[in-house]
Amino acid sequence: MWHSLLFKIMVIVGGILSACIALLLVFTARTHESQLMRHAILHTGRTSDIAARSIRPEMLAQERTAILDIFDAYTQEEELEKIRLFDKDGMIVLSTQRSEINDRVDMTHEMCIKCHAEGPPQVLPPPLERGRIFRNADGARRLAIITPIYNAPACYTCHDSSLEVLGVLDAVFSLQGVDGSIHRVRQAATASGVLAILAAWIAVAFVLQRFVRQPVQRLLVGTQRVAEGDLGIEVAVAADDELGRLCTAFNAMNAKLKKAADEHTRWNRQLESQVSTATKELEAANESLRAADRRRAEFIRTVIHELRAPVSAMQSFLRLITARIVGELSPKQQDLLQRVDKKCGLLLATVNDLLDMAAVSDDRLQRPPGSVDLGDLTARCVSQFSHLAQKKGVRLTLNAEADPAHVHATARDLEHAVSNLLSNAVHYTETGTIDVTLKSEGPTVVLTVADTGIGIPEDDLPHCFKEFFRGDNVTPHLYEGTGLGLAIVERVVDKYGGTVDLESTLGTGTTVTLTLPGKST
Amino acid sequence: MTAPRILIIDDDPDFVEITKTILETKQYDVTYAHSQAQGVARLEEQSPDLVILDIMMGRGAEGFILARKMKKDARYKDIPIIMITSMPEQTGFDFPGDPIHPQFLPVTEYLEKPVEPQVLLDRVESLLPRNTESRPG
Repeated sequence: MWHSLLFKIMVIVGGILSACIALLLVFTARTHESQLMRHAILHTGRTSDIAARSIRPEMLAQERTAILDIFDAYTQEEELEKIRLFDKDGMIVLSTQRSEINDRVDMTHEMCIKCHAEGPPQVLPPPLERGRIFRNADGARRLAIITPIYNAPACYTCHDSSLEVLGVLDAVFSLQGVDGSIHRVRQAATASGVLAILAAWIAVAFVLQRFVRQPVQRLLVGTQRVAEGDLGIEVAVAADDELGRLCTAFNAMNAKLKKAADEHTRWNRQLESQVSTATKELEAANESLRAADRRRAEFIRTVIHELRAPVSAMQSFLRLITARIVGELSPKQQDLLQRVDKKCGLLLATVNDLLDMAAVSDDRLQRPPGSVDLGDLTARCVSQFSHLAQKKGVRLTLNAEADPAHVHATARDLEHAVSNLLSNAVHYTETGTIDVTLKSEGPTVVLTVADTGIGIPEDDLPHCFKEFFRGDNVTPHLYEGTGLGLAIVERVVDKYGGTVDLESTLGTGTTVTLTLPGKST
Repeated sequence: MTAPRILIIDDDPDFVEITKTILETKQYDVTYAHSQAQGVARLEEQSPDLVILDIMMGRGAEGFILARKMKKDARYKDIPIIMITSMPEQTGFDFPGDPIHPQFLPVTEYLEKPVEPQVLLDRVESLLPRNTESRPG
């Protein structure tokens, strides 16, 4: 409840309004009451004065019974309850209540004090100062007014002229009628107050509902919908007040937001379409690249085949001739033709190495990689070269500390790498040993081929992995080769995340270390 | 006495000429075919004692297909085949020393071009059936 603006305003404004109404009504009622009392007292005072004057002749005539009759006649009036007369010593001389005649009144208690409080007694004060209000045992309010009866020359026959006051007339009036009026006034005031407060609350509630709550509610709903992303909505403008202007401002802001959002969306769509166009173009470019790559690979295969077939045929014809199948040859002819045959062989080897290099980088030319036992593969390569090594008088040994040593690769790639290393070692070593070592170092498999061959000049070491590079110390007619071996080795280890290291001292030997990531199975 | 009959199937006339020349030094009866279809026809006509087959003729591995056909046919399944190729990678074997798989490559011998004349003659001789001479016509 307290979180409602309407409730807060209603409590505060309604409370203040109610308090004002209540105060106003209390003030009005009080004024009315005092007016009533004043009238009652004045009326009572007059009645009392008239009564005092009317008994004068009877007092002169000493007619006590007649005075009592007059008193009784007065008390016939509804409001006058009792009239009594007491002398200046307080002795009740006459009273309509017969039983209290000859009683003495308590002068300090009764209204005597009004005139006899201090100094000389006052001479006939106005009625408002002569009255007192009190309650009897029955609880009803009463008003008693005293009227002094002064000594006059006519009285001197009986009373000494030195006396100023002969007695006091005390008239007691009932205030029941007045109190009834006051009660009715209070009731009316309360009723009208309640009604006025209710009306005020209803009016406040209506005004708040109509001019505050409804527009605020509309704004709230509008804001919530905007927060949910519904930017197109418009809040109805109810009036030309602050809230109305707020609604207008909200609508204007909303329209701008919507415009910005629409612009953003449009821009996004444009961007999306641009991105999609660009992606399509990229895909097309990619596809044409792939196609170009396929064509290139196809071209390389064709070129290699077209090169190899005629060279192969040439070599075959040469061998027919050098085998003297088709006729005899002079020793010189034989020697020359054998040299041509050798060159053909070198050409074929180059073509085959080129094909191997193409195969390393072209997955279509071979099977997908799997788990290959490098130990087994190395052993087979070593046995292939052992005959050649033996022929040259070089000791080729294999020391496989790690067996099996599985790596993730294709057997074909690994075979190219290992046999190229061995081929180099065997070709460039004339005496001594070639030690092949295979071991596991943590997660890697390390293959070392160490020879005691001619070695590589220090200046050539950085160029050894370049295609067709051959060292300065390699005499062409002694060591024929394609210059592609180490390039193929490097491509293979690169492909499978390995490394190759080359250490060499000219004239002492070369050590090649191949490191490949191991595979647990 | 009938000389052993050898059928060469290869689309390369040079190779046919070379092989034929080598084989004729040993007086073999050499015939040849330049295509797979022609090869099949020659097989039926001449029932050779040995077949020398090239893997690649034209665009594909027709030699493979022919070798497989022969091994499935009761008439030819016992004829030894020497397969000769200029493209070792096309055999599908990763390692050159791998044994020839009887189901995958159903040939008796496998050689690479260019062929050393003496090697070819040795292989042919070792593969020819011993009883060739008593075989009827």
